[in-house]
Amino acid sequence: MGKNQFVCLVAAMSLLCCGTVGFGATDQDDKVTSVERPASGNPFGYLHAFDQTLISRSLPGQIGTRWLAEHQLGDVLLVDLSRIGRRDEIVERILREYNEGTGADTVIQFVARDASNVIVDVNGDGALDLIRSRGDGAETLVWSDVDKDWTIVPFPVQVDTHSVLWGMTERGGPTTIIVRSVGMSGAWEFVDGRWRDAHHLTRGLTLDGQRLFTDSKHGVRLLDLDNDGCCELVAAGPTLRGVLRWNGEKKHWVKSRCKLPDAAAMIDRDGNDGGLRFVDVDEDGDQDLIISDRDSYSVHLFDSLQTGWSSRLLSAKRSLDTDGIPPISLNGQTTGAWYDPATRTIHPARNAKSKVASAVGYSLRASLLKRKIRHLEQVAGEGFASLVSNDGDSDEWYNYQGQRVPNHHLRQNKVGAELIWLTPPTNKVQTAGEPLHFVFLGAIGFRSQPTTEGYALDINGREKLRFDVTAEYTRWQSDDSDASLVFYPTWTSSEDAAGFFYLTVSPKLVSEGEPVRVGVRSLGSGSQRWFALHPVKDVVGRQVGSQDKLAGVEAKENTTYQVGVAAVDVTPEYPIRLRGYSGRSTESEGIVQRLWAKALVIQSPQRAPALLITLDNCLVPAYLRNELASRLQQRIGLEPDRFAITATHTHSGPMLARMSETLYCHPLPESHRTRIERYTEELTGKLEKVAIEAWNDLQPARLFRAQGNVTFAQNRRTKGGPVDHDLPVLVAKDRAGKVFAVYVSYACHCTTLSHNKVSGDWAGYAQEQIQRAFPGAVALVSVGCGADANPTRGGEDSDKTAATHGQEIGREATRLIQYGLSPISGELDTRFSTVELQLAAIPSRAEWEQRAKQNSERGGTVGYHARVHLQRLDQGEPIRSRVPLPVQTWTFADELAIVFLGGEVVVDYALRLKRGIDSKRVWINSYANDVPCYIPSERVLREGGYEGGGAMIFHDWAAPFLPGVEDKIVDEVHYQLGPRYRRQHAAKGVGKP
Amino acid sequence: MKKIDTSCRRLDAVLDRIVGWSFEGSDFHAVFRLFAGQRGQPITISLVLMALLAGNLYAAKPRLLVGEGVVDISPPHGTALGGFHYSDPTRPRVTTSIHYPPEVRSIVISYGQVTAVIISFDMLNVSFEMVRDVQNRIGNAFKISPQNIRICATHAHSMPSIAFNRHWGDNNPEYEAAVANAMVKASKLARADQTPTRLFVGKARAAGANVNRTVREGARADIEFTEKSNEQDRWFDQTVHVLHFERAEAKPNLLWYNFSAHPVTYGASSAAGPGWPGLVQRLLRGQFDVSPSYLQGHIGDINPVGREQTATMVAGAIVEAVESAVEEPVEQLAVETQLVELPFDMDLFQKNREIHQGKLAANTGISLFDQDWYDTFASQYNLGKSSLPITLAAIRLGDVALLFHPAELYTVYGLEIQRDSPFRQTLVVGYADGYVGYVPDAKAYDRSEYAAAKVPRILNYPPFQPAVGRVMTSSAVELLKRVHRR
Repeated sequence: MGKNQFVCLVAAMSLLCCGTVGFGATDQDDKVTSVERPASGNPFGYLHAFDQTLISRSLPGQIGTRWLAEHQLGDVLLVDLSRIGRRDEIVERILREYNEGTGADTVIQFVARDASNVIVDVNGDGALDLIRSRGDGAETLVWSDVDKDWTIVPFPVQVDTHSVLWGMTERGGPTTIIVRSVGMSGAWEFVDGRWRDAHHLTRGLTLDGQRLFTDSKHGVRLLDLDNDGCCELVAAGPTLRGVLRWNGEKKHWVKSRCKLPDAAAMIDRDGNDGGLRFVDVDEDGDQDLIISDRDSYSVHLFDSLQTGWSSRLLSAKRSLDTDGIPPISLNGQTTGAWYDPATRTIHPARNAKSKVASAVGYSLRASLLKRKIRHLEQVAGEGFASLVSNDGDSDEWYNYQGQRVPNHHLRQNKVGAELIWLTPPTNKVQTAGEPLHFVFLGAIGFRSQPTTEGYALDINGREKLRFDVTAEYTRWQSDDSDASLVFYPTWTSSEDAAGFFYLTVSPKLVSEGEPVRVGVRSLGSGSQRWFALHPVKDVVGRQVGSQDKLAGVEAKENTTYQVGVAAVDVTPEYPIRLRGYSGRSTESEGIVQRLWAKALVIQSPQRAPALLITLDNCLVPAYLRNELASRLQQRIGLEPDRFAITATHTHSGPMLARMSETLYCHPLPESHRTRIERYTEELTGKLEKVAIEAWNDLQPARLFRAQGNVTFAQNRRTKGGPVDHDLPVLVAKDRAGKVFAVYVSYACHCTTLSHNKVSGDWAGYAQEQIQRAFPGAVALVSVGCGADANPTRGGEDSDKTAATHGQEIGREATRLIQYGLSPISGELDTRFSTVELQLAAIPSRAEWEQRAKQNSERGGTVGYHARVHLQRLDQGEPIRSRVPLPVQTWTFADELAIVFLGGEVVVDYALRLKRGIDSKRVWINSYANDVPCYIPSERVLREGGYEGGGAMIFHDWAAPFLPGVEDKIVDEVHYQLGPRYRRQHAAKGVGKP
Repeated sequence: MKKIDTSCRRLDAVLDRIVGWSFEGSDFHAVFRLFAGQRGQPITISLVLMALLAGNLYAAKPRLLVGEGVVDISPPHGTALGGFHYSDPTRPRVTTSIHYPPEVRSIVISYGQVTAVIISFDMLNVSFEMVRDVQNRIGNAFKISPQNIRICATHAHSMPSIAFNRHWGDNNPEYEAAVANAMVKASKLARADQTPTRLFVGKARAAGANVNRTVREGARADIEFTEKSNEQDRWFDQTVHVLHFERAEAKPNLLWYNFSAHPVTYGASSAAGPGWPGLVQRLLRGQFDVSPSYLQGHIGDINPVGREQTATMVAGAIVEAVESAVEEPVEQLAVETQLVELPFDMDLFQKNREIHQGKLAANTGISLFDQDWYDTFASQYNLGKSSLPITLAAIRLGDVALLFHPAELYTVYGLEIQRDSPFRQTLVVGYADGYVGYVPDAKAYDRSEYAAAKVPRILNYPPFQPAVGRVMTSSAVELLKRVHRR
């Protein structure tokens, strides 16, 4: 029976037994979760949260790190069956199946506040036993693997979650329970198949002259704090606080010097959840503390029974409701927040109702890393003494300070190529049993090169772990935990990173007094990615202190935004003229792919929300943006400057009303015009609707960014000409860490397709691909400065080619999201302005008349364009001599700037801006807020051609631009972004060492 | 070695149960492991075991054994209730319902050769006759001195009166016999329930739970009571004393408490029950699954503030006292009693008698109550009987004592007894081993207060001399000092 079958069985039986009462629906605290059956024979573990107890001898690893919640594992259950009657039978049957192995790999985890039944492996045989309440007492159902049946023995006390402490007081000893309440006192051990009186375990249960009681209002637990196999008795109540340890010689509890942090309370004065949890956050086997309530949060690491939780990992007052670690309790009520040891993140409950309780998860990773590096800085010895061999090259490259220094590097272009060096000889102290720590300088880089299997790290000739190029703080560990490597980058460029490497090895891998032979071996080929060792022998003194540098990372990882996202189908359900190619003269002939408008609303903690709409269309006219901005300001109070709309520039999308008709060389038929106006009106309504839906969808989220590389765009003016292959990515993750919005941008014309059918082209397929990779997420695509870049054309099977391009973007975005995200924490500020771009001299009437006679090869476009202008002159209309171009920037403090440029902007703008602005932090969109025409650079303007001025007639402008356009636009962008985005180390570290 | 460890554990359990001595951790433990480990012979193990048992049985320290028995004594419908004056003596207030089951609660405490029994029961009072009867029956049953048995009424005003009360509660001989039987039964149950026990003694204050009812203002709380404090002030004692017995063998813990407040919270209702102590019991049963037993304190001048408020505050103080209780290592259980003569004010009695005689002769109008008092008591009283003999008793549990007296003692005297007691903590228990009515302070006699002037005529005693409280106090303290010296 698999998991689903199991859940179905439970649900079905509960219906049979309980009418309409669902198995897990009687109480908010009730949970049914399937978990893996644990391996047997592992040490006794224990977790006792406020209203939940998790006990087992059989769970692998540290049960103390496990936190009962939706995704937590656990094989000991407290089951409240008191209100349900025959559920007793269900639990017994499920346990029987579990023990017999007929229940597949699942077992229930059903937790309730007033649990009356306990599921626990009382005798450590790996099978689950059951403590079951009866009207006049309780009984122990002990499973026998031999008899395949229960043996029933009395349980000495009535099961009461809050009064019975479970644990063990001697390593490998029997399961022990201790009860001390006003009404009953005693202790028992499960020995030889029965509960034996162990009343002596109640001796010395006092703390500071006060008696310790085990019932709920006192906050007392048995916990193995120091992972020695014996439980300590921890009191963390409103009045009594401290730790007792069992003295087996004197047979008496004695007070430990270990003190709890001031704020640590399992329960408050009213007996409710005090917001304290015991979790092994640093995975060293002992019980650390996480404390989080409405006002503050902190994490304390356990050191020893002598010093207690003396290391404070972090501590802060909660300034904003959604700041920091999600509250574990609010006004005494358990919020359901839970700890995910895999990501070291504390998540709020999925069903958290209050705003403060629904903050996004909080990662402890950076804090732990900071502590780790601080420790390494103190203990590490020199990690380089002499080079042994290098199959790579030696030259100079940037070091951790951005200075050029000698280095030995090894690329991933040949499998098995090695770089080997020796550390200084280990000394006696180092080999006394503690791990050895070494620090050396190095760098890794060329991240845009293809990934391979990376590198192997060999210690004295034995491969211990594998690592690869990264720009992040990263720790790799060997499977047997005998070796680990930490990379602490202190200098990075868009491609490379340099910094400190900390190598930790078990003393059993080295010989006392001998140097350690360290080898880095390439596992891949065909890539220029590289690892470099800087042969420096006085690294210890150069360590720079981790606190300041890592503080920013910590803050970034945990800043909470409010993010909403929505999508609306904007596919025309009727034939309509498509925009993009002048050669089309009929309405669309079908739908290949549906078109979408996506809305993304982002609100940073101290700012008003900002809205982005991405639209599958060729253009987005200014009047449409203005109309939407007006409506949204009225409907939801959106500030117009905090609104951006971009078009994907698909050439297979409907034409919008009031756009230039000079593209087509002839007036549109009235029927075509009618449907264009109908669509435009419908579209405007849908865009308003999707914006409001996103607005209403605001939820706590964390934002991340990344920058990847996709290569299908090609310069269409000059073979091998400049392109911008960057793929910037912005990701919103919800409170559980799930991706729910992905925004990407790529600088390429959306012109894979040239048929007359509706499609989003590669931008549409990219959205589909990303949304497939992240179910439930909404993908948004904008286009960068790709006015002079085309995709590979698809020919007859162009739709397939467009899909392939989309997949390329989707795959890269997926890779980045999985491996390369950096958190964003800054406030979101927006700026918006319009620059007036001067056109060259406007033709005279005579010149228009002359042009009107032309019947050029492009379908008479020039002639038609001139005739339109003559008509205007006849009607007394002025000929426009300036192009208003919107320039907008969104900045997340100094971490990320997204530039929205109107028009069809050529690639030179992106490249120039990325030279002047730190390219890692800038993202440039085109086709934003208005698309009046092509925006050529000075180079393109000089060169002329289609983008340099020829296309102005298709956009219904009278003349090309005057020189100076580029500076005007670039200056405006710089002005809006300010000096904090100026490049600090311009052009350093691009690719090659 | 694992087998030896198992044997050690088993042996330890046996010894712990039989003689209250822990084997593990002792020197014998090491010897045993040495023998068993090296030789591994069952005979060797047995010999060691037997030697240990013999040696320790000989030298075994006695341990405190405590048991409790409880018997319901809900009065049958129609039983006359006491506590309040009958306007028409021919139509007594009778029970029509039970607001909370009244009980006899007996605790039997043994240490070595000494056994003491304390019975608390929800009743207005207990007569000297019933005390003698029950003491003898239990004493015979347990083969202990009747002097080691204390019988304490809670002074529940929603229960019958067992001692004589003129126009305040008719006697119910059949019910009284049933109550006496219940006391014996409860004590036997308690004896059978005895189990090794650790005693924890604590106290806490139930501020706001009671008031001094004899003065509108100016009464002072027990925390202000000093060496120099005396009858110049009226007092109220808000301290709750708790005896918490932690018992082994999965037996429920026992909780006995002592507090001072009249159980009058149900007024003249016909619902029988313990009054506010019943609510305390309900609260603690609900919260802690423990059923507390109540020992009344010194309440001659003390009323509760209200049914719910008093019960809630007392229950809270009990919990607080339990939590802060300190283990009392009981190495001595002793019971001492002392006969004390409470002096009557025969001059005043004579004067009253003459006044009533004159009223009757002049036929100037006299109440039915006064006429009955004169006709059936005052006119026939033997004027040579100028004092009332009572028994004071003290039970010592280590450095904690319980002092038992049969009076409705004014608070000042209870506080003096506690203050001057040589014990770490002293519980002063009233309405015990008989009933003499109020023992008020001298001012009460000067002012002819209800407690001094009226109540003796209800109980058929001449009024006490104003110094009666002093007599009671000095005797009680003397008794406590005597038992402390043992």
